[in-house]
This record gives sequence, C-alpha cells and structure tokens, in this order.
Amino acid sequence: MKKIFPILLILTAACHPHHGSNSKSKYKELTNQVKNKVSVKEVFNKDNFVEWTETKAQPFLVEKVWNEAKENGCKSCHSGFALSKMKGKKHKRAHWNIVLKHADSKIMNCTTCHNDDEVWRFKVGKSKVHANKSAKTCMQCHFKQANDWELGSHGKRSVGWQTERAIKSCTSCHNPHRPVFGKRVPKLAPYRPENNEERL
Amino acid sequence: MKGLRERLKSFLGLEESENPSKFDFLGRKKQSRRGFLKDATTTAGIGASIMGVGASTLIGEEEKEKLSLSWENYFKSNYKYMSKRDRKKAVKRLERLAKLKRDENVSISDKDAIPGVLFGYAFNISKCEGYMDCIKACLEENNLDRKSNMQYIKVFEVENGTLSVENGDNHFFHETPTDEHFYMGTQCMHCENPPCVPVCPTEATWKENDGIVVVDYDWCIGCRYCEAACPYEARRFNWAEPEVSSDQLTTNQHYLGNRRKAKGVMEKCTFCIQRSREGENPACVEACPTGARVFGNLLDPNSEIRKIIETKKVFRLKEELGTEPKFWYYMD
Ligand code: HEC
Ligand code: HEC
Ligand code: HEC
Ligand code: HEC
Repeated sequence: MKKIFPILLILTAACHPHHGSNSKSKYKELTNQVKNKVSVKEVFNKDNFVEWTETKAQPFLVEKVWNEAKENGCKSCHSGFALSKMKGKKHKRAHWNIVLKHADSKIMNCTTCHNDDEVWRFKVGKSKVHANKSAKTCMQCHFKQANDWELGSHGKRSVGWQTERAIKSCTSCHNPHRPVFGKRVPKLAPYRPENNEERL
Repeated sequence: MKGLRERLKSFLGLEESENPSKFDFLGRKKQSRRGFLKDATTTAGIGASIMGVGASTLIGEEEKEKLSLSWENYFKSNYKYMSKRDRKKAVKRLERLAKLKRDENVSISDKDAIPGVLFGYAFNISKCEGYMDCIKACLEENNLDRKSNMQYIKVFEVENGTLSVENGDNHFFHETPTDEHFYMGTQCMHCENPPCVPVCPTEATWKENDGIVVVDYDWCIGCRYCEAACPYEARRFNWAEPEVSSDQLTTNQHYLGNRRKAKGVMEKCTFCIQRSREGENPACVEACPTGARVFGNLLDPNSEIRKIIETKKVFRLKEELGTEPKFWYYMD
C-alpha cells in the first residue's frame, strides 16, 4: 500500500500501454500454435499437499502446514476443555510466547481465528476448517490478496513450473500471529568486480 | 552487420574467405585466443609425439588421457552447430576432464529446449523486500566467481517517488526493507530481439528455441561486444580465472549453463537452463521468500506468468528499444 504511489510514477514514465497490450496479444497468438501440450511430470509427493477445489480458477494444490504431531500436541492440554473453561486461575497462563501483532486488538484476538473448542481448527464464518486449509480463514478478511493468490500473483509455487499447480499456503510465508515480513540484513556481500580484475 | 564482421576479420588478422561458413567454423578462436597452440598444430609431429608411444613412458596414463581429452576439447566446434552425437561426446569429455583435473564428479546435460515452451519471467515490485536470497542462490547454483562475488542479478533499492532504476542503488548492504524504498531486480531479460546476439563476431551467443539466450563459453573470444550491446547490463566478464572450490561446486550442470567458466569469457543468467529445462524453477525463483519472482511457460495459457501478464498492469524496462524482453514487472 505504502509503495503504490511511486510505482505509479514509474509506470507513467516507463510503460507504453500499447506495447503492453501488444505483448499480451502476441503470446495469445503463440499459444494457438502449440500443438502438443507439455507433459506434466509427477515429480513431487502429493501427500504434502491438499487439494483446493473451492475456487473459480482451475483447481490447484496447497502445501500442508500442519501435521498430526502438532495437533496431538494441542490435544494434550486442550482436549476436553473449552477455551472459556481453561482461562482463569485453574490453569497456568500458557502461550506467553505468542504475541499478536496482527491488526487491531479490537478486531483480532486468538479466537478470531482459532476455533473455541478445537483450537487446532480454524474459523470460517460459523464453521471450521482443518489447519491445512487455514488460508480460508485469512481469505475472509484479505479477499484482494486471496484473489491474487488464486491467480498466482501473490504467493509462490512450491514446485517447479512444469508440474500441475502446487502453491504455498498463506502461513507458509506469513506467521499468522505477526504476519508482516521483518527487516533483515542481506545474505550476501555486494558484487566486487574489482576483485576479479587483472587488467594489466 | 557485414561491416562489423569485415572489421573484425581484419582486426583479428584473418584473411577474407570465399566461403563464409569456413570462416565461421575453422579455428578462428584458437588463433586469436590461444595462439600458442597454433604453433603446435602447424608443427607436424608435436601433437603426435605428445600422444604417441614415446610419451607413455614419461607421463602416466591419466595424464595422457587428460592431454588427449583437452586436445579434443580444444578443437570441438560451436555447440550451436554440433550434431547431437558430437554434443554427447563433448559433454562426456568435459565430465571426464573435471574428474581428471579436479576430481569433481559433475554431470553435464545437453538437454534441448522442450517443444511448446517459451520461458518468461515476472517480477512483483510491491513484494520484493531486498533480502537478496535470490542473488545468493544464483551465485551458488551457477558456480559464479567467489572472489568477486559475481552476480547475475542486481537488486536496486529505489527511493519512493523517483522514476527509474537509474536512480536506484544496487550496492547497498544494510537491513532491508527500509522505509520509503522499494526494490527492483534486474538480470538477463532474455529478449526476443536480443541486441547482444548479432554483435558477437564468433556466434558464441544465441537465442535457443525456448527463448533462453545462451553463451558457448568455449567459443567466446572475450571481445565484450555483447556486454556493450546489452541495454540491461546483464552480462558479466571474467577478467580473471573464476574461483569456486570443489566442495562448493554445483555438480548438476548444463553445457550452456552453470558449468565451470574460464578466464576471458562472458557469462550471464540462463534462467538456470540446467534447472528450467528439467521442469524446475530457476534458483532465484525458488529462493525468493516473498514470491516476488514468477517463472513459467508463456505458451501455456494456464500458467501464472500468463495470468499475470493478462490481468495485471505490467511493464518492461526500456520497451522503446524494441528488444522485447521476456521479463515483466508488475505490482499488486
Ligand atoms: C501445555 C499445555 C498446552 C498446550 C500443549 C497447548 N495449549 Fe493452548 N492453552 C493452554 C492453556 C492453559 C490455555 C488457557 C490459558 C491462557 O489463556 O493462556 C490455552 C489457550 C489457548 C488459546 C486461547 C488463548 C486466549 O487467550 O484466548 C489458543 C488459541 C490455544 N491455546 C491454542 C493452542 C494450540 C493451537 C495448541 C497446539 C499447537 C495449543 N494451544 C497447545 C495450554 C496449552
Ligand atoms: C489471524 C489468525 C490467528 C490468530 C488471531 C491467532 N492464531 Fe494461532 N494460529 C493461526 C494459524 C493459521 C495457525 C496454524 C499454524 C500454521 O499455519 O503454521 C496457528 C497456530 C497456533 C499455534 C501452534 C503453532 C505455533 O506457532 O506455536 C498456537 C500455539 C497458537 N496458534 C496460539 C495462538 C494464540 C495463543 C493466539 C492469541 C494470542 C493465536 N494463536 C491467535 C492463526 C491465528
Ligand atoms: C478478522 C479479519 C482478519 C483475519 C481472519 C486475518 N487478517 Fe490479516 N489483517 C487484518 C487486518 C484488519 C489487518 C491490518 C490491515 C492494515 O493495517 O491495513 C491485517 C494485516 C495483515 C497483514 C499485514 C498487512 C501489513 O502490511 O501491515 C498480513 C500479511 C496479514 N494480515 C495476513 C493474514 C493471514 C496470513 C491471515 C490468516 C492466517 C490473516 N491475515 C487473517 C484482518 C484479518
Ligand atoms: C510466497 C509467500 C507468500 C504467500 C504464500 C502469501 N503471501 Fe501475503 N505477502 C507476502 C509478501 C512478501 C508480502 C509483502 C510484504 C509485507 O508487506 O509484509 C505480502 C503481503 C500480504 C498482505 C499485506 C498487504 C499487501 O498486499 O501487501 C496481506 C494482507 C497478505 N499478504 C495476505 C496473504 C494471504 C491471505 C495469503 C494466502 C491466501 C498470502 N498472503 C500468501 C508473501 C506471501
């Protein structure tokens, strides 16, 4: 959001609208020339993905972010207790390490997303979904990003370009509790061409 | 173009040939780049004596094999014009030489372009955070010189409100993202009309059928015309012998891709040809934690890259030059 203003400037400076549309139509034409479709290689393990058919777009696969072990972890404390019963004096305070930095506390608290009775399930409207489909929880509020994600311009593929579409879930990239990407130092020192010069 | 070729021929001290194909395929490179060997070839008998019976008593079997392979490797022709069989041979030779010279077990592919595929790339300027994971992955995947930290990719930090990458800084080294800036990556754009190709005097660089612009490192004479011709500053020259230690070497290689390069040759991004032709994404795409880099087949209407080009406001750098780069920028 904060970035849009300057980028618009770039567009007006560098973008030639007719060129853009030319390139689009050009690749449409090229498509019509393709006779044999590229074979789809099954190089990845589908067990690591869930099917995503609830879309206007072509169905695709979404990388799993959750597993049995994690779920059993939650159950070891949460089984048999509704959250409302757990809070208070009888139970020690838990999850002190999770600090929400996501929207306003008026909008967001733990049970905005987590189901009250089964904390390892996530709220979508009045129903709940498995953690591997938690993207649906996010999509309720972030529909623009959700659209882009379905389209392929937000998020990323989990596997190569050639296989059927298999992509990362929202929480593969965003920590649901503090979703903004942090600052960090680049992983690599800058290019020093002078270190590779024996000109004389 | 003719004029340039003429000039180059005289520059290289080559005679006018009646038959241009002869000019194209006969040891021009050897004469210019490794003149010392020319003497050896013209002095009949020396070659034979190196490889001959007499030598076997002086040098070991492996040394002999190495010499003979280097010899053959030296006289191979331009990859572009090699038969499938010659390519296989050339590849086997290079693999064996890597083993003999440095004890490296490399596997070099000669895989052709996949029919029905034209590669394209899209870069989301509202997602890139300037982390440079892409550059690191690229350097490692493509066996780039570690001494200089050679980089095919440049990431520019551009101040909000400024107009182009020209005002950006690609030598920053601090925590990113910084406020009031956005990030923009450039690399070889694999133009449909690549201006770097026609200027090459030895046809050492060309565009493959899947759109990847490649270099035959063994056919490059290092004149750097291509570097000058590229409007995107995408080509890198090895002024010195590139240094990559054996334990850091990526051993899955392609003849036109990430194999070891020598001093005096040009190299550049190949969309990781050794990966992309196997159905994988280039290393930069795979390494990017933000999803700002999208790669795919432009001829597949269901690919992400096509969806982006069709539904987002996209632009390309220096479109007015007519180079038709296959590298689009977009934002949310
Ligand atoms: C060591 C026991 C323990 C484990 C294991 C555990 N919890 Fe909890 N959890 C608690 C307790 C106790 C509370 C209530 C006290 C509190 O508010 O901290 C709680 C509260 C919560 C809340 C509501 C917090 C609030 O303030 O509304 C959520 C959501 C939650 N847990 C999710 C999980 C999930 C998901 C897992 C599994 C990954 C899990 N918990 C595992 C003990 C546990
Ligand atoms: C924006 C929705 C959202 C909110 C709000 C939220 N969570 Fe979560 N939480 C998730 C999702 C989704 C996961 C599943 C983890 C994944 O996808 O990797 C998760 C996982 C967890 C886990 C297990 C994994 C871990 O990171 O340790 C715990 C424990 C947890 N949440 C506790 C809480 C507590 C306590 C709160 C309130 C302070 C809270 N959550 C608020 C969405 C949310
Ligand atoms: C109840 C609605 C709601 C749900 C559910 C929700 N979010 Fe949010 N989210 C918000 C709001 C509101 C903001 C603050 C937007 C702003 O500051 O403009 C926000 C902010 C964000 C941001 C950062 C925006 C920025 O740059 O400051 C990200 C990333 C994000 N959410 C991701 C997620 C993910 C991933 C999930 C699912 C695990 C999720 N959200 C679930 C309401 C929601
Ligand atoms: C490949 C990783 C990745 C995936 C997967 C991903 N995002 Fe994001 N998302 C990003 C990056 C990078 C940003 C921009 C960084 C920032 O501003 O913090 C971003 C920004 C956002 C924002 C802030 C507003 C904006 O558009 O800049 C929201 C909200 C958001 N994402 C929601 C989602 C939701 C919902 C999903 C799943 C449907 C999702 N993201 C999937 C990487 C991802």
